[in-house]
Amino acid sequence: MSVIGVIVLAAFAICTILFALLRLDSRIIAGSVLVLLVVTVIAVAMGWEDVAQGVVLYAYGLLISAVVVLTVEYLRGEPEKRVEGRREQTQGEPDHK
Amino acid sequence: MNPQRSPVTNFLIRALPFLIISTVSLIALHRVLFTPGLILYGDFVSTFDVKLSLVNSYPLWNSYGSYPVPADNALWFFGPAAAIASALQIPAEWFYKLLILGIMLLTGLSMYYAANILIKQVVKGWWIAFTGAIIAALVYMFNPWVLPHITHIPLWVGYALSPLVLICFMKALKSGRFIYVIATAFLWSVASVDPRYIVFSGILILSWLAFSLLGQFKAGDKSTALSYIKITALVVALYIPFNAFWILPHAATGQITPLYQISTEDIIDISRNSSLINVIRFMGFWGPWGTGAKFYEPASQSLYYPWLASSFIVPLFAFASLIFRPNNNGGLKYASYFSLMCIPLIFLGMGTQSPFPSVYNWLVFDIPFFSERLGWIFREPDKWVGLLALMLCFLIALTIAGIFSNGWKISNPASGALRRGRKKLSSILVKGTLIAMTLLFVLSFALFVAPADSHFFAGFLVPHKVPQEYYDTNDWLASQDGDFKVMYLPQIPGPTEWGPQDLSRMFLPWSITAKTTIVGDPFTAPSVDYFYNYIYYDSLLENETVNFGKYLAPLNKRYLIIHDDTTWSWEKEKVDTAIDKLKNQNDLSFLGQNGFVYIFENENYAPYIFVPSQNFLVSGGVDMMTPLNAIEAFDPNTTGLLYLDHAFSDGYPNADGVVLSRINGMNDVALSQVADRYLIVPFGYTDRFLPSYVWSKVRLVNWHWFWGRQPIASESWDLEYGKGFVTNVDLRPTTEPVPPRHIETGDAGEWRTVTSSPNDHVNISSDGESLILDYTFDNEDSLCIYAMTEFEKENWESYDTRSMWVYGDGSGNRLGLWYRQTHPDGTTKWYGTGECILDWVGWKEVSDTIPEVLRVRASGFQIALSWDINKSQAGLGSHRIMVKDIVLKDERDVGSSSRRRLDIPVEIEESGPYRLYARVLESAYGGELSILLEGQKIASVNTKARESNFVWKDLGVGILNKGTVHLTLENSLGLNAVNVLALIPEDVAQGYFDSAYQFLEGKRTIHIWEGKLVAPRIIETGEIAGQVSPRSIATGGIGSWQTTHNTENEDINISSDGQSLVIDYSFANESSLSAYARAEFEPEDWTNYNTLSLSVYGDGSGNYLNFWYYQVNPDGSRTWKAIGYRTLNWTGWKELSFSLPQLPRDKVEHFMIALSWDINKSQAGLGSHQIKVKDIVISLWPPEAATTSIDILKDSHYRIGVLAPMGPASQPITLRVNDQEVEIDLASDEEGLKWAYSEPIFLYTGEHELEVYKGDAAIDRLIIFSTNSEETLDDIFQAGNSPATVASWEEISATKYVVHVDAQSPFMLAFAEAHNSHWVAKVNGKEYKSQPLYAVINGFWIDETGELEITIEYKPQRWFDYGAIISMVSLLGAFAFVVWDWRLKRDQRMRSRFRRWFSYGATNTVAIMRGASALVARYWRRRKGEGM
Repeated sequence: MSVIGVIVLAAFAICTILFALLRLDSRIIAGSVLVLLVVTVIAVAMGWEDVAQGVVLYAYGLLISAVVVLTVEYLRGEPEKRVEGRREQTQGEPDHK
Repeated sequence: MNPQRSPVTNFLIRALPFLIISTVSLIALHRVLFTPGLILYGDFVSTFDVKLSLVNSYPLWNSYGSYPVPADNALWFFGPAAAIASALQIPAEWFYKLLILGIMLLTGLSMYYAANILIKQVVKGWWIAFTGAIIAALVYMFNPWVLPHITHIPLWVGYALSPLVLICFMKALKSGRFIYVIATAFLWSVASVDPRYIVFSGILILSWLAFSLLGQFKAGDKSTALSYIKITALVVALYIPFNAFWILPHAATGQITPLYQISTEDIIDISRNSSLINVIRFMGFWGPWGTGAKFYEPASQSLYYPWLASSFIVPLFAFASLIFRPNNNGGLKYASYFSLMCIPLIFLGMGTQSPFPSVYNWLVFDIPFFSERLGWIFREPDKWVGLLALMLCFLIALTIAGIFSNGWKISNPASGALRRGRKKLSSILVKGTLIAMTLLFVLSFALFVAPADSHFFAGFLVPHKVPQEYYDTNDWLASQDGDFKVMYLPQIPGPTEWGPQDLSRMFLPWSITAKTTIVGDPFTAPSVDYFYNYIYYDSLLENETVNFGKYLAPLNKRYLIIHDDTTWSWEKEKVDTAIDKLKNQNDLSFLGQNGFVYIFENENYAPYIFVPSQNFLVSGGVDMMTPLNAIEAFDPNTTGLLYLDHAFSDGYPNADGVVLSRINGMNDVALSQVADRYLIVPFGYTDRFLPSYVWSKVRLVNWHWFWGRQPIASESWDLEYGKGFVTNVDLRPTTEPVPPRHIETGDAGEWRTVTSSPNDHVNISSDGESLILDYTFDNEDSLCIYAMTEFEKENWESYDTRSMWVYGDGSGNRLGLWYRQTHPDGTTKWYGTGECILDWVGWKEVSDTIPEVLRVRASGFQIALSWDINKSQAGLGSHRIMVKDIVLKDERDVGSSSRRRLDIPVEIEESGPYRLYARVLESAYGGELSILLEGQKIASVNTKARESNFVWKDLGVGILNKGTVHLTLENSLGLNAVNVLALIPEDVAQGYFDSAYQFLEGKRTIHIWEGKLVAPRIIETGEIAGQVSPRSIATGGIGSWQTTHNTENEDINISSDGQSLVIDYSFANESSLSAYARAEFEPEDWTNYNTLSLSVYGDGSGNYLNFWYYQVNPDGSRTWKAIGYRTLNWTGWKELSFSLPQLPRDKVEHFMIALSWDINKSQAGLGSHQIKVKDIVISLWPPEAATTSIDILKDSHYRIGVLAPMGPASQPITLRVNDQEVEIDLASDEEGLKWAYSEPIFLYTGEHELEVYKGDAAIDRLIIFSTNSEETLDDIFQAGNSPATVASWEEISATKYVVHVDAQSPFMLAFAEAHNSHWVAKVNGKEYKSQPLYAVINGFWIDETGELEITIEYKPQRWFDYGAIISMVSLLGAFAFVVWDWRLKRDQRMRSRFRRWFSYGATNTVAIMRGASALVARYWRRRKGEGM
């Protein structure tokens, strides 16, 4: 593996750890996966095969990151907490009706 | 069922998915279904009759093809389907079409219901679940992964069922209900019809278990976690008995891995399309060859970009679930699981294109226990993508569910998420957007898959109308009485005139026959395949036999069917030749022709079960049958042959004698008994197949498909004990880096030109740096022009790259670069080093890799320009290209600095002296093989020989200490191959030899020297004094040829068709004299040659054909010397041979072919004629004297028999054995090729020198045999009294026969099914193993006498029967439970309803009674009141 490859791998790992520790939403990473996939389409269409291969590899790396963070969210029971949080917020808000 | 909806609505909702999936399937398959014909493609082995499909499923031996049937095919899916179709007499073509439709429906419905159940768990609203599930189902049915795998029916079934396997297991864990446990085990079992889905379904189950446990452990719910484990264990516990019918035979016989030869290079090749971009779009399929991913793409260029964008729609929509999933814990859970599974599946789907390619190699080759048994099923990484498709489809369903459930909430005016005042409009907009997104996905997916799924699914499912000839032949065969088999040739015909024109059709002999055959299946019966290849390609087509029927006789083959319908030109040529040759066989009769089907009858075929009168052990390859067949009295039906190198055995088979090839001796006899613990099998120590770079593993079946097709062309037909071998070729003169080799372009005088037709013209010149080619293609009959330069033979093995600069002309013509290689037999051949289309103008560097094998005697370089490839008008007319800087370079980075080595660790059990033997290949391209021990060279073997054979070499003795030692094979030079090594304690080794000598006591030994039968030639012995390499004169081009003629009355023109020199000549009138074609070359020394041989295609003109050479005399003068002449009184090809005239021939510089009219003065000779000349070889032939050594195995008298042309005037031939001269009289009253014998001579055990003196006599074969009398070979092989007679036999089933034999002494029982070690014969409670008789069929040595009842049985069937009982009982038990559970539930429902009805009735009754009593009370009150 090249030096750049190692650096990118390390960056993805750090990103994953940060998202997991800071409880950031995995959708941010997932969104960037989709963006990179769209970039891949454009690169293939332009005939930039090497670029496309590189970009899609980054997309795969980010996908791993997104899935890991997503799984951590699941294990933490994040959706329930968010729903509960929203419920608490809604209950605490004044009624404007 | 929703009670709030009407029953009609409920029914429609339930039926809708089935209607949609059916309709879409019918639309997609309508052309496949309604085009008449049979589908033939890839793994889709259609048979002409459904009954033949059934026998391919059950029983475990396919008697029609004579090969084993995998037990797992037998019960699940295909077997029952074929049985039903056979019972209903459904025509074969409809059976396969309905099968495809059925599996397609199963695929869609399976995914629909699985996704529907899953979505309903996470969102509300039936229509959301319906939409998500139906879209997931359509993607699952039609995604591009499915396309090439439709032809793999078992795999497709596994794929179809996997959604249900997963969802049933999920429900089993969630509900804990036993019925779901049963359903999971059952569906997993049915999916196991393909071995991959045994593992894939297991992965689904275990991965979901692991994911669920993770959640439970996190929640701290250990009891639930434990229940999950118990449920999973229960699934596995049910799976095993359900599948006992195939597990037991596999476990009992160890029959898990077919004899596939998979190498790292195969995995790399199969992974060639598996880039990440392709894998996530399901486009990673590896084939068909050459097409790559092209068949997925639209034909129209204008649709390419929309198609490209839509090809990413599936991963985009699937991974969008990470954002738009249903916003609850269930949605998160499923999105996590499915996306988590995608990660390794994408990685595995990429095979060796993943970031860590070694991981895939590890999976296939190196995981302990697993890879050895199951690694082969994962050789194609694209198979993993089937599982990935499952995950992505579930994710798509989640995305749709999430979008709609979240979006619909937002669009609800009451949700508060919309802007005030415009809520209704916003709601419509949001809903419209959601629907548009879904439609966009569906349309994009349709656009993506339409090119591949249209036109009969990219040609995979094209029905082909089977020609009537086959049905007629089948009907005719069916009408023939008797038990016999049929031989079909060619075995694998390739594309046919009536079938698919591309490569991957699958039209196998057993699929058409009404009678049984023995298929040469390389993976189940490799020796049969090998044998067929030999008898067809190397014996029949090479004119080696006139007794072809003898090869087929012991195989019970009565009819030989040749089908001349191949469209492969190279194969068609062979088929045509075969038909001609078969018509001239002594023991076959041509019955007739029906269209392209030719039928021959083998008149002397053996019965299905028979007893040979005598048996011989054979040391040598399968080609040993050819010299034996040439002995008139030899009848394979009465003389059984057992090959010593077919398999190692722990004792000598009972035999009357040993037949050895010239090269074989005591080593072969003694070492065929070596026990496994002393054997070292190098095949197991490499996973590579790149013989030009590394030691590579090869099995028997691959040998001729690899080396046989290379110019190395090993003619060895030896067997390899079933152990495979390793091989490497390294012809580099040095391992040091070599400087680049520049090919001169600055001097046009170094180059010559040739044209292919009169419509081609070329002129070359040079500007001092570049070679300038001005060429013209006149019209559409133009072909090709060549510019070539020639030089002394050079070794180019160190070069791997050729680069050059070309000034293109933009003509669109094809530029090809070639080099010329001279082979050891003197023939030359041009090999391509790359080509390109001249579609540019100006200078451009063109670089290519030179082919890997054989650049050892490069003697020419050629530039070819051809018009024929593009047929473009732009290519016609005059053009100019320029060429410069042609350089050959060494750019390889693999093994360039050393000779290739293979390390083999060996465990030594006890210290002591050990003797090392190696069975190595000797060949014309052999060189030196070194064996190293702990890095120190301990032996070196010279592997160069005129003929190709595997031979045992004694490498000496050494003291070894207990522990692990490292042996290393080093290819020091040349082509080397090693079959096995034997490291044997010295005393044990001596024991093997003692045992061999003891065995040979009283046995006859026969040594055979093979020659050529039909075209008699003298035997080529190993070491020939004064031998020189033949010199061939090229006829593949006209570069070195010139023409002249005597007067204006003659005309001559020469051209070449690439192989022959074509001479068009005409003699205008009676004043015509001669025309000449002359090859010029630098002066050569022909002193050591004595023979000119060549092939001439005669014109029957009666003209005079003369051959001359031009000698430079010592005084500088030159003289034409006549070699010989013939009158052209034949048409067609004819081989000619002439002795060269007396010396001197030390400076020869011309060779000339002269055509003269003057000798016969025949009117027929006038006018225009054409002859062709090829294979002009000047050689030492016959050799001056031939000497060889002979390994006599025992002290005895011997006679020498020679097969030679005999006649009244034939001179005796003199042989010398050691110092003893032996004369054999060849005088005979009748002319012909006959056996003549020497007087008996006594020879002691050991090596003896045999020398054949020079003489006019040519010997076709020479046989030395031990004898104590004046016996001849006919006496030896004359059928004597048979030790036993087969009174009768009965077929109980295809896997069991009962034979009644009357035996006077122990005997060999021959059974004409392909040899398989699982066939056994049982008699009087004793079991006899099968021996490979004739290397092809089963032979049982029965050591019993009297009236015997022998049961021949295929053992795995017995295990199958036991397993089937277990399977049936467990399945019936499971079924009973399901029924009981259903009845219980039904009763509960009934009770519930009854309670409801009772409660309703009771309540109403009470109310009525209350009302009634109130009325009565009121009435009585009124009556009472009135009364008062």
